[in-house]
Amino acid sequence: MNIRRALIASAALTCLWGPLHAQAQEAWKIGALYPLTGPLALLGGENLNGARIAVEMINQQGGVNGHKIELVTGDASTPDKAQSEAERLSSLENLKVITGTYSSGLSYAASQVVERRGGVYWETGGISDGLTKRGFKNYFRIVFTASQNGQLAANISREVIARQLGKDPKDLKMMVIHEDSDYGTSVAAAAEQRAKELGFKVASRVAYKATTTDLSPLVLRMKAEAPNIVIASSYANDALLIQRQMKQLGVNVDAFVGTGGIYGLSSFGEGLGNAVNGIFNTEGAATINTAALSPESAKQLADFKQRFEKAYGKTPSYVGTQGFVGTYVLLDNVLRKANSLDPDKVRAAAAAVDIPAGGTALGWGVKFAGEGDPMRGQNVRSFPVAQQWQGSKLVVVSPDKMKTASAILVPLPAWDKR
Amino acid sequence: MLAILPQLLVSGVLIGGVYALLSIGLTLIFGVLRVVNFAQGEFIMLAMFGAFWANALLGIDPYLSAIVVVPAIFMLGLLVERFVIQRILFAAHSMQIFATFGLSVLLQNLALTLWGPDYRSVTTAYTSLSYSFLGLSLSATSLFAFIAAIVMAAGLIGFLHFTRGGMALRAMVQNRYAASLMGVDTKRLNRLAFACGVACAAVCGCILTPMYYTFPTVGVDLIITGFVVVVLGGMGSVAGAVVGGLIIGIAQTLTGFYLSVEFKDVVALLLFIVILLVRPQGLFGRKGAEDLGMK
Repeated sequence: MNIRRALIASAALTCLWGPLHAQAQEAWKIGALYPLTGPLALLGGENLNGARIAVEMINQQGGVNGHKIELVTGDASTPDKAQSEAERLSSLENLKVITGTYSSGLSYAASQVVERRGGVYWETGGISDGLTKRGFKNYFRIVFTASQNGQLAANISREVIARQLGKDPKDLKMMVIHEDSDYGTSVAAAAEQRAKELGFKVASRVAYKATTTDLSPLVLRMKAEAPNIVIASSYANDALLIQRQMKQLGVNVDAFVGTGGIYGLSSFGEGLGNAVNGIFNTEGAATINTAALSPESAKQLADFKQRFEKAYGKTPSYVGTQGFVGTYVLLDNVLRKANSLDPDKVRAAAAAVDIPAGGTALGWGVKFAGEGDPMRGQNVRSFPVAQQWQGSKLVVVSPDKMKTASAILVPLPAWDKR
Repeated sequence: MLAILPQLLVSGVLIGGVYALLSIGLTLIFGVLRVVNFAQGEFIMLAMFGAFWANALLGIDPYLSAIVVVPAIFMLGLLVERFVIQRILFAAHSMQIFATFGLSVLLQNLALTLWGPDYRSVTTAYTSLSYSFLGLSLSATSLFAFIAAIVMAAGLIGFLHFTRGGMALRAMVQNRYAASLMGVDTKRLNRLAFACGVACAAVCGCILTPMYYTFPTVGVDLIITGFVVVVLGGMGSVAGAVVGGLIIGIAQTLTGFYLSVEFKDVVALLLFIVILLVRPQGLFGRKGAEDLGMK
């Protein structure tokens, strides 16, 4: 009996002593709004998982100026939900710094609430150009824009694909296809415009619903127009349908360029088997050539990948990595300098961030467009890179200093030879 | 542009078969129980996960996995009828909608919790296979779905018209009280009909697994067209579901090619509105079917 009592007493003491000892400084709470249920849950969850690793790493180093970081999550599965969760985190939880959101539509809804309430919104995923065209003073976006991504798809069509085909853009026919949400439309519009500037013959730009169960009309149009290059912004099942129906209907193209999202996920490779090889993808890359990174960033990237794999049992995709990089910069470069969660101080610290290219694990630098800039709050040093599926894995093929392999399979072999 | 018309028609008919497959269970449940099952898509999703796991863990072909998956979903259907549907059978329509819609959200999130949000796919020898016939290409997976739809519809129609159980079901649909006075066990028939309806969803799920990604909200995307097809064909009519599916499939493929791909899903909904205005009972439905047997 006495032993048991002593054990209980010592356990109680440890419980009391532990937190008292560790919390030399009060913990800092930061909001994290991501879609964790519903159709966007996969990538929303991955974006958040990346952010969680950043918090874990910072906390293990002793936190931010002695403050441990705690993420308070909210499930922003739809724009309505994003708005009400932003309201909850801002007012009920009284959080002044909120990060999110993976999807642009959700970011629009959530950040509006946070801006009105005077908090700082730190975007680590949404790429719609319009997000940073609203002139919000407390909105910062670490990732590149939809326009940059669409333009890259057109640029590699000239620099990589046309060059390897040994043809001039004016002799190459292009077709741009996209799902009709804000994401697909803005990426595809930028790709189309850039492709025209580069002299490609853009035969058509075709929109479709991402939730559709059949894309044979689209693929048959492709057959009728016979483009050399197809640029596509897709969501999930639509991407799988396009490839499988192209094969079934015998539609061959010289090159196929996906613009991020599903095209960068392992499930895309799994769904297509060997047929995935040769398909291009434009977005950020966790598989970037580490020679393009500063030594600290390269070390950080390796550490992140190892922790992510250990925690979630899979290698991080780009979406997880952007969540990590965005959150790490927020904690390590902004909050540390602000030494406070006061929005004015955080904003001032964010405006002063000046990380040169190669200074983050994705190869980006960080410098935000300031007041008066039409893209106020946009990180002007982030960029997507061109990748290609080779050996059922994604490798970086452009730009030169970041690539890990050269582009192959241009033109794509016909379906019966793949 | 006309040279491609035969291919468009073939593709339209094949996807129409998929739509019919999606709708048969839904129309059966409505025809017998007068309940719109908003969770039908989720039963398809559960069957897709069943087929996926059978393939991933045991290497079983997704079509073959139906032997295990369909009875399992049938049992689940019996349970759901006992604890959810039976209690709302005579409730107001709004209550029925809340109950089955709630069930759909529950099943989606159950799948999310159990298996996570990943897009999973089954790759077999026939996933991107196609057959050439007179210069036309027929997608193998769509062709199988089409055949499955026809077989399933024929089987159901045969059962309803030529067996004792089928006749009892039809008697119950005509007049629930009179049927029970004649010794028809209506409670048991309701349970059986609901379980058969979701078993049709399970067959559909197994057949569609090689075509689409499997993930917790896949049912929502798939079933939307199913609702349109059921209304077009006539709520409660199995033959109507097949004909309705083919009409929507062909209409979508033609408008998708000649008009606009984005517009093709609008066409289905336009048809939906026109039908509700012009012929509310649908192509094969009887007037007043929504109240039939409930008096």
